Amino acid sequence: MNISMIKYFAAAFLVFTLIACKKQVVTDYQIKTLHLDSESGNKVNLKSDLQLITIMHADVFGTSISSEKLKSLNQTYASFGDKDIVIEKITQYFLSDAAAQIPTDGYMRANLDQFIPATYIKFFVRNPTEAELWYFKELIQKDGTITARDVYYAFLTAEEYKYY
Amino acid sequence: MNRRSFVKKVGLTAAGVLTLPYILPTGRLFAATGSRKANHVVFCLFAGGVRSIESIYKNDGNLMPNMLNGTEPISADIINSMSPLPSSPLIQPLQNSGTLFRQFRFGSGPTGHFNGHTTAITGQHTNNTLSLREHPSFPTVFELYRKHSNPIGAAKNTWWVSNSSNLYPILNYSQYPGYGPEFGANQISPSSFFSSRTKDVLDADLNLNANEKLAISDMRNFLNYNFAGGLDQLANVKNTQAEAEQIQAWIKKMIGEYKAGLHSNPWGISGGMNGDMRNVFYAEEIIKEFTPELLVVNMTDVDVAHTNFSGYCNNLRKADWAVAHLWNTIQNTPGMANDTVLIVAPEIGRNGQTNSLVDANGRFALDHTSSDPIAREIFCLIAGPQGVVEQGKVINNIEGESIDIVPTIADILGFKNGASGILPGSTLTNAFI
Repeated sequence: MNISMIKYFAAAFLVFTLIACKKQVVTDYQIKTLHLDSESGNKVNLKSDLQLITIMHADVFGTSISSEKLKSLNQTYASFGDKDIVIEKITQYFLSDAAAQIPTDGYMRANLDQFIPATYIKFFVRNPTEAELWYFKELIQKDGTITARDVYYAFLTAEEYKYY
Repeated sequence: MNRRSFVKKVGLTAAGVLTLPYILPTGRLFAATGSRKANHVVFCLFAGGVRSIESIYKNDGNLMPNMLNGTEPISADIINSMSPLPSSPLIQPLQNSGTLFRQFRFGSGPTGHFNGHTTAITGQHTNNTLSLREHPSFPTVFELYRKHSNPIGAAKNTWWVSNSSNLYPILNYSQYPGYGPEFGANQISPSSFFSSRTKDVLDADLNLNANEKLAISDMRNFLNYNFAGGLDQLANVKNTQAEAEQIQAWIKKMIGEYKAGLHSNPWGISGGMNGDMRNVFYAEEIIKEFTPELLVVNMTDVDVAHTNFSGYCNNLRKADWAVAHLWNTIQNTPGMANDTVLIVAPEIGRNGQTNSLVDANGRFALDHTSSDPIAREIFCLIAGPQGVVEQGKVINNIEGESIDIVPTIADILGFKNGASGILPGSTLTNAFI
């Protein structure tokens, strides 16, 4: 092996080493990425009737809805034009059920820093902004009559909940 | 007087001059866009495809004695299939309170129920491309009324009472640019809405106190204010907060009555009320609660004619009785009595040729197909206050068609100018004084 060949292999080794040692960022975990940001503006699609009802049930009860209950709710939903009025009715129906998974008021008041972001994530699938966090903390701290159920009611009947 | 004071006084005077004409003795802040013939219209789509041979020409006797003059006996071979009905709610047949167009026409388009409804509610002809899944392409009478009334017509004043929660609800607003859900009607399918399946949902009540309601409203307003998403894509018809609360209270009252069994047969019909009667009953409840300026209600039970001719005749009688009950309720509702025009017209007719299905009385059934010209022959009855609608008038020649009903409603309620350029039909002027 002559000198030029040695130089050639040395240069190639150096280039290979530089490339090979470059840090590789692994971004693919084979898991669907869920982006939780604080923006509501990217929700432009209206949930369908069935989507809204089934998602609402899952959010409130933590379980999927039975087919019989879905029929009842879908019939109610389809039979009246002002969907806000129907959603209010369905919300009352869900939240008045003893099986509804609503934190206690004591837990809510003692853990506002956890309760508020968790509520945003549960219903809006996003984190609250600093302003939203501040608003709800102020409101709940100042008004001792607000219940966790009231907060859930407001979220379930808000415009943002109808969109994804 | 200094310059500032002078300018201020001139400004206030000008504002007063501009504003005063719009504060009317009736309490309305603004005058309507045009003069009105009456302040309320009820339009009844009657009743799922009615052939003039059985209605106007009474081929099997007068099957509509509450609406039409005449004592022609019902044909002997079908008489035993007719249910007993209570005596007429009216002193005289409805045609004496208005004008009857005996040779009205469904002029163009496929003679399907949905086509007929769409034409009646939009005032536009349709064709075979009409989608059953999409809101109409042209503005509905509800949107035209709400958008072109001044002030803008409230949703609470506008109702579409459909006897089916399938297909027909989408006729409450269109896709037409500049219209849409913002101007749509309050739609309800009452027989489906107030039912054994839905009663627990509608009866649920958190019994929120005033403070809780206020807090929830504040929180929701805050959340809505911060939502920058799909608000440009209005999800549905909306009522104001006050209107929504009135509607909620009415729903609560209705479902309470339903659960108490008060809606099972409120008219005391022997053998029970059919779907058409129930739909008209709920339309009457809306009339009594909201005194709407525009209400459209449909009936469809005569469509049994596809398989059962005698059942068709029987349901025609029931639909006729229901219309009389409706008119009686209107005339006994403060705010609507003597200030309402009722328009009754089938959305389509039925074929001259029978199909091959025979009922228990040996009568052949009737379809409705676009190729049969008899299926385009219908009638229209316009009843209303004396001094507004011609009383007891009968128009025997071919005059008027389905697309003329929306312009007629526009003329009655004073929004025809706003709707000009959109509607191909004309006002049925011969019905009015």
